[in-house]
Amino acid sequence: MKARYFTGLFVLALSNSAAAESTSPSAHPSSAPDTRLFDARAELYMGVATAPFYSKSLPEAGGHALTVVAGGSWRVTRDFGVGVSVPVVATTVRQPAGAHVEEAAWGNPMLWAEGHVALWDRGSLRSSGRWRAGVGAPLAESGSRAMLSENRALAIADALRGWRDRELYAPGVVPAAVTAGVELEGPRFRAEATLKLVSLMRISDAGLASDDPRPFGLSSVFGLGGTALVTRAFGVGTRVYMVADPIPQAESPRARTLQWVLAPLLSFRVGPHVALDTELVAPIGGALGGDTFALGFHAKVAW
Amino acid sequence: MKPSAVFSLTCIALLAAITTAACKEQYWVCEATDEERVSTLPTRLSETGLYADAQSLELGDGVLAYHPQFPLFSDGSEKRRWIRLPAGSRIDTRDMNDWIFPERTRVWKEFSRDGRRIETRLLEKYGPGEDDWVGVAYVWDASQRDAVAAPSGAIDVGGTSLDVPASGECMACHGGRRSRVLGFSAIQLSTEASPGEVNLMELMSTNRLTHPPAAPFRVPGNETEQAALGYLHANCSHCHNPARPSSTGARCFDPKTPTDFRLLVDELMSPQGTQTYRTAIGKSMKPGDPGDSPIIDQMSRRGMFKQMPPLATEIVDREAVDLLTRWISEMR
Repeated sequence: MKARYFTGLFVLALSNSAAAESTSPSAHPSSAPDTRLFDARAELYMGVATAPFYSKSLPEAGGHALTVVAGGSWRVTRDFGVGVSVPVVATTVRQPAGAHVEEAAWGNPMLWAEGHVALWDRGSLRSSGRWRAGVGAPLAESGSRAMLSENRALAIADALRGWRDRELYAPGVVPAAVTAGVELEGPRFRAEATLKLVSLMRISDAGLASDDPRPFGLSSVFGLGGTALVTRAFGVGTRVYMVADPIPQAESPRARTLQWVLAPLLSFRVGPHVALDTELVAPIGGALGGDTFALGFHAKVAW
Repeated sequence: MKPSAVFSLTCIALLAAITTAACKEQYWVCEATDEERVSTLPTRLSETGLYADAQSLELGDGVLAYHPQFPLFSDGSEKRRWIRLPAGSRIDTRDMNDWIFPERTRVWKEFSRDGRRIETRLLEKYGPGEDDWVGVAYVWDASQRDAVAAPSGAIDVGGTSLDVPASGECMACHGGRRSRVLGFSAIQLSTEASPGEVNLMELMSTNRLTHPPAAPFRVPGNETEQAALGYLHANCSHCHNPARPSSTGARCFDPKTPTDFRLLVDELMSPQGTQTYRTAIGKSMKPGDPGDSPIIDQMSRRGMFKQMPPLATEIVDREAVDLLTRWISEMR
């Protein structure tokens, strides 16, 4: 019931064009009506995932999930803004024998600041840098020690997004994330490279006391991508991410050191105020490969 | 129409479809574990009363071993079973197909692989209501001296492929029959007992049944028919029966199909009189044509979709597939 409640909440949120986003800099080609003062964003991911989990008796978590990150931002100056992102997850968590149980959980809300720096401009070709720094409130739910239900729901949500936004879904930690990116933009294309570092400072064992949670975790996400602008309002692109956890947040016998994620996308600008993207998240190889797929929708309304 | 409008409409349609799918109740979605109830059970198997001495594995007072004549396939695990009825109590057998067990009944099932105990599952009737059952699995430690409760279950235990069900999953199967105890019934105990075990005759002679039958029951048909009907009864009928107890929550392995694989004590005159023949022939099984019988196809699958049974198994029961193939081939 809880899951259905959150599904309903999402539909309501989207119908009002209220919105959200992760802690990556505004990256998608259509997602930047940048001259506006305020924007509201929503990101929805739906899919199926099986991911390593941080418990000796339950070394993996799997199921279906619907994740929503809602939020918005305020452009304080032309090149600087602040924003908030609030993640929530509705899942059916697969139990060991194969039954599923509905579970919903809040992730870690993030407050962030972001900036934009013009690097050079040669007429039709220009380059810019973007950065974002965020810190989260440690509100992600972990559930009871006996069941770890919310913990598993968040692990599924984390996998669904290809582990690119661990700060949103790690329970028992104060998360912080810093992202830097470079963009190259021409008349018909946009290319970008981003690097994100996520630190997870543990403040509670999140129910994993006997399963060796680490006092500090570090995750890194390196992304490369390009988008071809087919028309002024429509772009087709793809991104490749390399996710590595130099210091995992906890031990998992099924964790791997490296995860590659392929994310093809379509981007649309719908009028002067609304941008929509859709993205396929396809982890390649690694611990998530073969068992995890998701379809993502991003909506951004600016005014 | 502008591409942006097409995209918007596509997104809205996709979202509507996805939301509808997400909101639709799925038959495999079960109730969450009642943690408060599970916490009333002992945390160690040695404290449950199964053993008088956990080291020697000497059984506790009143604990009776038994085996059903048609066992549930559990991916090749070896299994042992025990029951403890409260002293002086009797099983309400007014409905011979669904016995009602007295309060404080405990039932255990032990799973082993290669001679090593992996888990022991416990079902306890904690109250007078028919629904007052709670279950948990105990996972054996490496020393094999005791087992510890695992309410959330466990995956690939002891280096095997055996998964231990979460407490909330117990009723995915056991909740499908009014009695909740699937292997301890009139049909299942109408078999020869090994030394030290109890069967239907023993229960009758020791006055443990409120309404004892005149004699044990015999499944009709030749050897193949008996084995096939018994297999379907033991492995399929807890979901595939129209008399499942109602649930106020998610449907949870309630297929809502008219197929009924139960063996009922008053329908044992001939194979054709059983629910299986009356409800599944021509649908799940095509007489003489196992290759076109959905049941053979689904039993031969393992994976995310359409496997049968849908839970608690990762390995195809080849012996059963062969048995049912032979049975359907011989059907006229």
